[in-house]
Amino acid sequence: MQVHQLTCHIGAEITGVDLSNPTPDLIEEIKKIWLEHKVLVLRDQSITREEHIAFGRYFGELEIHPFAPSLENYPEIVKIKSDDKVQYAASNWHSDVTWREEPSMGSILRGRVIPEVGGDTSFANAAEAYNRLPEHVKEKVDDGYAIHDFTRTFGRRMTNEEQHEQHKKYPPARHPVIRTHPETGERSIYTNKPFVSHIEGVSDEESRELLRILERAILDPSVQCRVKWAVDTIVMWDNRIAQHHASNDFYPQTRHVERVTIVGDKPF
Amino acid sequence: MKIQKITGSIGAEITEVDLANVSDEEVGEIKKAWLDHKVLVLRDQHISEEEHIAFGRKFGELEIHPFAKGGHVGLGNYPELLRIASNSEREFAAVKWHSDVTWREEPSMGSILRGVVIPETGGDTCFASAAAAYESLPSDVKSQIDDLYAIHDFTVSIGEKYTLEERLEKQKEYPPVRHPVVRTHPETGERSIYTNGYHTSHIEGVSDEESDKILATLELAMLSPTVQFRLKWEKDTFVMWDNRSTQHAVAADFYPAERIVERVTIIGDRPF
Repeated sequence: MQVHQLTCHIGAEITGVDLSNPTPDLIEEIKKIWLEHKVLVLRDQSITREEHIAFGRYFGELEIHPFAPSLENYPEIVKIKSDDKVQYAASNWHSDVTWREEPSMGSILRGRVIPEVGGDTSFANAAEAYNRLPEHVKEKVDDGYAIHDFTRTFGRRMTNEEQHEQHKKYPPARHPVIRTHPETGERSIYTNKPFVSHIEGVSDEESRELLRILERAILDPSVQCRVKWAVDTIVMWDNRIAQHHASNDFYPQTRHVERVTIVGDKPF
Repeated sequence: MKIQKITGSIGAEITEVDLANVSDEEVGEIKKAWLDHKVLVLRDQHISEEEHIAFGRKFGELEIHPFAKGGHVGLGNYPELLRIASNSEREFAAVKWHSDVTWREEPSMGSILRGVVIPETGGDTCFASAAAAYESLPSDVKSQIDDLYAIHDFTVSIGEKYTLEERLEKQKEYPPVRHPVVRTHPETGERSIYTNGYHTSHIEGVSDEESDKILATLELAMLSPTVQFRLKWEKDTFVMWDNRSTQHAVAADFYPAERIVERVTIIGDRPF
């Protein structure tokens, strides 16, 4: 297995690995490299959907997404598709399902249909983004909590009644603005635009300003890498410490990717 | 010559061309591809400094940077070549998204940069299409900014490299300049954002608060990966970009590794 770093702060491409039938040793090694680089890119993995799911299960329990469409017969696989009829790209910086009480630990995304050009995914190291904040900003956000609410993004597709029903199951979640990685101890920015409504206990104005500063820290190319997809490219990222963004630059071409999401624990 | 787009919004990689022996016909094709894609990437071009300069001259007159300083120096025998170097003793200064020398009356048309010493990992350059960024703006923002002008001033970006005396001296020669917030490309007619978080001091004729707000909105449009691509350098990679319709930023992630690049800069005309 060879590991090739994509940038200094995030991302590594791994070659010489077959995910269809991994040994326990290989899983251990991948886990270690994943924690170190936060985003792993593996090319030409022509595995079955069952193998995709099985690979995910090595890292934890899998999530069944309550709102996003899943693949027929494979409830653990979220289908993300864009074509000339329905244009969709997650073109905002975020970490997955942060509106849950126990948001995702990581996601494993596989390219099925990829446009020749466009639809790259960019990733940001939210710990390095935190490290680069000025001290006076760190002091302000270090002990803060933010409210995450699915309605900001998924609510748009629902009626008020539906939102109300879902809110009973998925009430707004309260997470630290800066979370600590449960395995590496790294501290990282854990707010994002699509899911965070506000920071608790400060004025609306200060909340907006702090969220803006944190967003800008994620937008710095110095903490990012960018992945160009191909069919059977698999990317696995750590949602506890990385944010991602899909470029919306390929319409009307078809882009179809499939995601397996590993359940995580409560951020602290 | 082969042209392969890099993203949906910006950038193309050109292969099967040798910049040391480039025909007039090929220069024509490169020029067209450059206008179409805004940034061109050419790998493994083992050419001399003279050939780098000669290639630049095919697109226009070359600039001699009036006061490059710090990690930026003109190379002794080749004043048209600007060398940008950083290493363990001189850390690369993170620079915000910008287009080159917008504080000049007639800012640069384009730049042609060569990788000389490149770290194994890090120091990528990100490029953004300022035309795609403009297109992405809501129509009420567009109509608000379409006729505005902004003031660009080297003292707000590179000013702190100089003593007060030096700065006052330079300011006589390079006073603040006024450019449209949205400029029209003189060759393609495309409209694009022409303010940046580095050299632009403020927008004319509005309150400071309003100016900050508009500049932040325009900068945010540039920061979307949807209008960008990210370039990994190698030794003898050449990149030529159009300063009239793009902005760029370098990842300051490679300290203490050494990174040296050399630039020739093509003089442009007055933005309108």
